[in-house]
Amino acid sequence: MTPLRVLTLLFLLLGVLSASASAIERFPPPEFTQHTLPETAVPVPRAAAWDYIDSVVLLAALAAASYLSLARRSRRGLFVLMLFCLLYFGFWREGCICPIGAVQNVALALFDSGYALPWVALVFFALPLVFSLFFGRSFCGAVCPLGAIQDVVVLRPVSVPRWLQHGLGLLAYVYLGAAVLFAATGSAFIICQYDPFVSFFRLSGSINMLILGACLLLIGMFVARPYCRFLCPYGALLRVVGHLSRWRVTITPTECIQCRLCADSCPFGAIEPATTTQLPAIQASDKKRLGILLALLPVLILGGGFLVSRLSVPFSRMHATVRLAEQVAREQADRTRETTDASDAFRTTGEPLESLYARALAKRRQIGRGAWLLGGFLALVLGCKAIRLAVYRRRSEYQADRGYCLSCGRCYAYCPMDPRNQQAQPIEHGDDT
Amino acid sequence: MANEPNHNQKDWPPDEQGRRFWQRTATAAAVTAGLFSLIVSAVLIVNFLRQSPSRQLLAEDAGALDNPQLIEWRSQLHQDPHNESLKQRIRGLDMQLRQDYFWRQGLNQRGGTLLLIGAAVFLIGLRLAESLRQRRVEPGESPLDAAGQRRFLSVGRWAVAAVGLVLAGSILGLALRSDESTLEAAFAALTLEAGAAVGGQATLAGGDYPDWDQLQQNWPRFRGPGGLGVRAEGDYPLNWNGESGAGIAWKSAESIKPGNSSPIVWEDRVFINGADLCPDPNLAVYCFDAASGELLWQQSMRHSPAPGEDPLEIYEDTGLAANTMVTDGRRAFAIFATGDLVGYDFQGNRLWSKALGVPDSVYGYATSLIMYRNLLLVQLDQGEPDDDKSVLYAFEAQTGNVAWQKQRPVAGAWTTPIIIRTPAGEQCLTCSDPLVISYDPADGRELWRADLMGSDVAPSPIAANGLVFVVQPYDSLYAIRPDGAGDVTKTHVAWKAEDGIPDIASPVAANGYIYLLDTGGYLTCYALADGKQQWQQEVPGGEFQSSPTLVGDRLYMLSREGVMVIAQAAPSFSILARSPLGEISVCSPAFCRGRIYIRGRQHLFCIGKSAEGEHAEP
Repeated sequence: MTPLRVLTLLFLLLGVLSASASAIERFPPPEFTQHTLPETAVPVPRAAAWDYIDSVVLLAALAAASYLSLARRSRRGLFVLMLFCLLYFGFWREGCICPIGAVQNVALALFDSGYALPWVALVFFALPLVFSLFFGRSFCGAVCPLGAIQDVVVLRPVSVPRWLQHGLGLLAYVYLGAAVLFAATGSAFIICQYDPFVSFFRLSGSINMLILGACLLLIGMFVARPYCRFLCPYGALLRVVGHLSRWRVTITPTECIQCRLCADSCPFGAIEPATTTQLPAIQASDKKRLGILLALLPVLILGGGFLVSRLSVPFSRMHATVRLAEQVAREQADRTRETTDASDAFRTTGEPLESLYARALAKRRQIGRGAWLLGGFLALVLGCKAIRLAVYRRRSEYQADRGYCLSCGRCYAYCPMDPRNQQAQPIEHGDDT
Repeated sequence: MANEPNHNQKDWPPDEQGRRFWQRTATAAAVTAGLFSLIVSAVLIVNFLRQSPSRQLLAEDAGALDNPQLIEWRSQLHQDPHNESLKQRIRGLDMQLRQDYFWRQGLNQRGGTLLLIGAAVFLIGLRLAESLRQRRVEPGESPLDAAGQRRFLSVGRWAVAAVGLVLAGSILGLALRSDESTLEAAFAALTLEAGAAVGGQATLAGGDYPDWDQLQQNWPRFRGPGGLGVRAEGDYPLNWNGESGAGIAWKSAESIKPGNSSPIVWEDRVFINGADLCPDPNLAVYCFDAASGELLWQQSMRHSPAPGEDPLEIYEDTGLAANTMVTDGRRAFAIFATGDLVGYDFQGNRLWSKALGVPDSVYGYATSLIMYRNLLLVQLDQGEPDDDKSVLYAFEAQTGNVAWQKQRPVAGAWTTPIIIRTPAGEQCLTCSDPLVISYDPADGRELWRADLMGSDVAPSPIAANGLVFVVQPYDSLYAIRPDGAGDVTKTHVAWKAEDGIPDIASPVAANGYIYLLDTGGYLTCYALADGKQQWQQEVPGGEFQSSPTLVGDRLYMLSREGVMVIAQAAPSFSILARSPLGEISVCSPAFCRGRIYIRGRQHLFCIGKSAEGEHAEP
């Protein structure tokens, strides 16, 4: 290990620890003095103008990213745009609002008629999807601040085996499904609660989230953009939409000569190698396997639904009403148990216990139904993935996977058929950014 | 740098010299920024560790003033509150700690900013050095041939399967590790204890009915809300004397017709029924003003024998009016041993009446009325199990129309049903010889039954702690889980007790215990959870036929001689008071808004503060 690597690791380790130092507690109210407590300051509401500004900036950034990735094929331009978005959406706007979290707003609005969906949340949710439908994942490549902060720390990316990437990529669907379930039932916005990088953007946050974010950045030095590839719930959506995109990033602007120079250029493992012209001979076992997988799909969905529905009790504890009801029930059963602020507040409302319990149980039943749907959805994703991996495909050229390609533009520089690369020497620079 | 050609720097072209210069510069900048960041990090960490030596590392909930010395001085000040010197020292240390706090906070903020800048320079330097590093681009993975593609797909499928298995295993593990929720049990226990028609707004055709709160505030039926004989809390009298008038708010002046039924109370009205033979049955309903005892109205009706009806035989101890009335806050209903059922509005106007026929009952029909939402439920058990005479009726309260009726394969009994709520829905619980049967009170559909009862069942069922309790007189107390279907005789009896079993009085349960009072005055306490007997006491006062009532943690037990024995129920038994009524009584008292209503042989008593607010002490 070189001294630079040692220094890097040590730096990050100390960075994690020192991050905790800045996460100290708030100043306590004075005791044993005549000091008059100041009035509680209420944060100024978010100015409506920022909604318009953010939306315009997002639209412009998406348009620029699409132009730079598809028309200009400029990695440098994308990198500069990415830095701008990191500074603007990340450090300036402090990571909120973002399309990843907007998934939850939309889910809640769909299932709770009493929730008024902010239009800016809808815009942030829909615009990247629409752009993905036409231009691929340009949002991920240059606009998303979470992607950007990971991108700038990519130093020596190692290649993750594609089979492992296929497997780990499924975790994003688990996160997406859970986030939708908890948001739709009004339980929690877990994407926001567990946003690993927002603490950096705000230079403040809980110690746990700082450690999580720092660990992801540490991993991200060697496994490029781990959150984007394996966890991001919005990325899971964009992955699906990306498969349907009208235009997409191509490694070569002309014709692939299968020189294989680009094969290892993508730190995200999104380049699929060409195949030989002959497909494998389809055997009876292949047909049988595909048939079994197709036939098993409904069983898988039912089984998945049943399995996840077993978690309705722990899932329901994500909801404040259920937690409160359980706390109150424990206090009722054991009168010596210490009460909480929430249970004390509940008792001042005069609401009958029965009413609280009934509300909590109704919420639990609702979450139980949601758990069935979540299990079915996850089983469907697994089944579809397995089916997709049971079908042979022919590729005449090395190409970016429509779903996994993040439109970062790193591969452009590796194609000898690109006129701009034809002046290049056989010895290439490691990374143009 | 293994790829670098090894020759003299002077021979390098200018571009290469420039590249190498910038690479070295970037590397040096990265190293410098890294070392700088390390120093800042170390300072921040030391600052964090020093800010409160007494606290645990990374504890987020400790206060900045958690200084041992300050805590110690505060403690000393508590002992010596006028020590001015100590106060000064505390103020000094308090000020110093606060100044330290702000100083550290400023240091942290400045350090955090410097750390961010250092990290940015470090990253930029590293990336620049990396981008200037030359490396040869080697051709990568060859095109997949047939075998390669087959292998890749196969491994990919296994990876997906592995992820699926890991997920399934995690879900199973989480499900197994998750605590069993006690919410359902708590809800069941609560609602079973609360019982009765928890309705909210009207959803059934034809009318409205009281909500849960209204029911809880009143005493609308035999043994109060839910028929459980429980008043969770309230300030109720301990001492009175019916003969001297001490502690008596009022006593009905009129001589009301005899009856063993109990009073019911709805807001400012008290209802009671009575009947006598002169020589035909003369049936009466009385409405009193709860505050003053003034008789607001009374209505009478005569029993008209059906053609061919046998002459009425009255069992003296039961009488014609042992059935307690019921009210929904809009109407009041009464039934008599003659099978005459009648409903009045609160102004005393008769709404409807029905003659259900004189029940074939050995000791006289004594089952009380109950209501479920807007349905009036009449358990008309009679004869023997095989006679097919017993029926459970549900009448619409507004019209008297039969909403549903259910034949019951049981003999005559003297129990009153209760409505319970379980997580799966509401149930109407009946208890007769030989079956305990639960019905859906909305449509009369039988839900479950248990063959546990014997002959002459008088104690009514109750519910508590997620269980229902039925009593086979002199024999057994059964705790049954009400979540079964079909015949649950062998599957849902949670526990059984055989000591101190009453023959007339119904049990009462709350706060984790169930109490049984037999006619001889033996009071037995069992734990609800497991049926373990806690204690048994002899209650002085003679014979007890009235069912006990639990108010908070006090048991009110009315002896036949009219002496109310009030005792502390849990955890141990102790008598608090003995208050005589001065009249024989076998009814169950009503507890409502701080007053107790007791029917004596001749009078209706209201015990508590009088209308003028006076509270006479005995």
